[in-house]
Amino acid sequence: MTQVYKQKRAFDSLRIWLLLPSWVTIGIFLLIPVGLMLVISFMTKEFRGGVIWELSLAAYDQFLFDRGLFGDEPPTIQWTYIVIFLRSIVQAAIATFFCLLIGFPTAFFIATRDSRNRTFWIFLVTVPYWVNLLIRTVSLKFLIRDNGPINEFMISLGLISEPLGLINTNLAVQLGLFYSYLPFMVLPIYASVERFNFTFSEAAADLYADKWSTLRRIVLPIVAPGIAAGCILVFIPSLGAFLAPDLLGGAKNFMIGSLIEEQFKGNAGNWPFGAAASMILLTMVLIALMLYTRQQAKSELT
Amino acid sequence: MEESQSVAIEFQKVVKKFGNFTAIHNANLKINDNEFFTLLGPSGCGKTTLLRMVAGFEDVTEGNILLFGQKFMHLPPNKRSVNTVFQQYALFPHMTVYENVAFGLRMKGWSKGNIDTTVREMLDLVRLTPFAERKPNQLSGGQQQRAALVRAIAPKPKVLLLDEPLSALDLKLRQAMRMELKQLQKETGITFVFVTHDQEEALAMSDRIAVMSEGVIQQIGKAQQIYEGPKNEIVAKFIGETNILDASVVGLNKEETKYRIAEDFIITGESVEGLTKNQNVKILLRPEKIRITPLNVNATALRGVIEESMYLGTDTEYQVKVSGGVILKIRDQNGFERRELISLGSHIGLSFSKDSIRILSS
Repeated sequence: MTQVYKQKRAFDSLRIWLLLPSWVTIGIFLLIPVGLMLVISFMTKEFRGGVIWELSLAAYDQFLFDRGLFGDEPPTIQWTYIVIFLRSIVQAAIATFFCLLIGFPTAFFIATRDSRNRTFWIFLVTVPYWVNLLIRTVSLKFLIRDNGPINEFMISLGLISEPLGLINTNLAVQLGLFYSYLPFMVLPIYASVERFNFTFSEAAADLYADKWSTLRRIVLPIVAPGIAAGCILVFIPSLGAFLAPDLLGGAKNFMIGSLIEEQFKGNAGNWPFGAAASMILLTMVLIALMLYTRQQAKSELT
Repeated sequence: MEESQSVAIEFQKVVKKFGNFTAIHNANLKINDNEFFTLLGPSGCGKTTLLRMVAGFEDVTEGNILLFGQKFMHLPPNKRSVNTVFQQYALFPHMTVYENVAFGLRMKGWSKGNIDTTVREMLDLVRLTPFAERKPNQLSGGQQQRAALVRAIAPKPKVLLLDEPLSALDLKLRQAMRMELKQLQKETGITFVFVTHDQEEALAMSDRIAVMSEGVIQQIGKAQQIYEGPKNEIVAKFIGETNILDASVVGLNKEETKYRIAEDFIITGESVEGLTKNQNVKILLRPEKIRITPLNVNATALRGVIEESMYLGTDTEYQVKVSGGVILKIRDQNGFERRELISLGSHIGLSFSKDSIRILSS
């Protein structure tokens, strides 16, 4: 009895040591930066970048209210940044939708191949990731610009008479996001479809379900966690992305990521405002995740 | 009698190949309506493949399968009025027991009221009504088994296919389920095609059994026919304990046949047609058909020495060395005659009746 108890004590203290590295990592790379960001968002801006260590709500105020050029007019709602936020959410949602549309069949296809060939297909999906995201986005810009290969090829075939004008549109941004994050959709769905027991779909077919009903009523509900994980993994980085909107969207199609990036770039920035925008973004994402987890927990209970 | 019954499933010269591997060699088989039919064989013998072809999960390479005289091999699984009870049940994990049982009916387009009545009836039938709102992972193995069973029965299939449905249960539950399955078959009047590797299960439940091995149907018959009169060595070895002895025919007449197994080990059986003198045959002698007798009762009786004994509760299995170095397995019931185990090394006498000797065709 005491022997067991002693062993348990020893194990407990060992466990603390084993957990320490992950706590330190989380602390250094997550808690400290986010905490710093939170603090800066409540500070006063310095005009050449950096902060003056004086408490101020100016950053949040600037995000929400317009007080005129000199800050002395009665406050009205500042729509500029709210619109950027809404646009970001819509862009990210559309990118997520298309990733799901293409990613699910892709993942399903790979997961139902011969197990020897699966690694090859997965390898193909991850190959683009060997190239830096910036380079890939620039390449995409090069491909779709007005005098780029796609337009020139289609003009030379006589399919179109003038360039499609793809570049600097919302569509270009969505395409960029889609291209950047597609594997994040494919991989988790692949993982859950691969674990899917296909006896279930046999059982469904045996019980008179056609292919469509089997997919909708049996396969989708069972692999839903993988789909949810994929959507989260695509939606969140899309929301904060700045490369694709910067390079492909032009000035009209500004997204939160670009807005935040601007605030920390060179001397023109506004650190507290950038930090405040980041905190607002983070809060929104956390609320969305919380709602999702609560939904998950509820559906598991019933 | 059998001819007058209608045939539920007929396999006509069915061949199934997976690449170069032939899983089923020319299977011919008629399963009667309202019959509890068992496909029995070791794993990998092709019994499950046969079942999956009926369900529609595998194509037939050659030959045809008829369902009540109708061709149906061109239909996809969801258009066939046969249902399957899967080995691991395959209950949909995200649905309640009720929803699982209702699934097939819903897919068939039954009305809501009809579905509800049938599902409740079915759950009642297997005493699952209190568990209707549970998810499969909140049920015990036996309850899952019963849920899978009524899920497959609810749409009133013409034939129910059962793929080793009891193999995941523990022994006591398995024995209870045997009774329940047999009863359910009688109550519903549905033809059951049951696949198992467990010979005891097959003997206990089936109206008829087909013994399979390496893709070949070896023998079809009632339980007793298969046990008492196995056609060949494969069937004899698979069903029950056996002594299989190489022998040559040394004497033939109208009443009896004499076989020599070893130099001074000659046994007598009933006369068998088609044997010739000096022909080499294989003889089957079931261990429980051999009686152990006191040594001095009959001087002509066979003698042996107990080499090994295994106490099994209801009976004891002895390995007895008889003349010529042949080892015979003997099952001796621990009934009212046997007072104590016979010790190793004892000399004993052996006897058996003529009709317990079977000749196996090779």
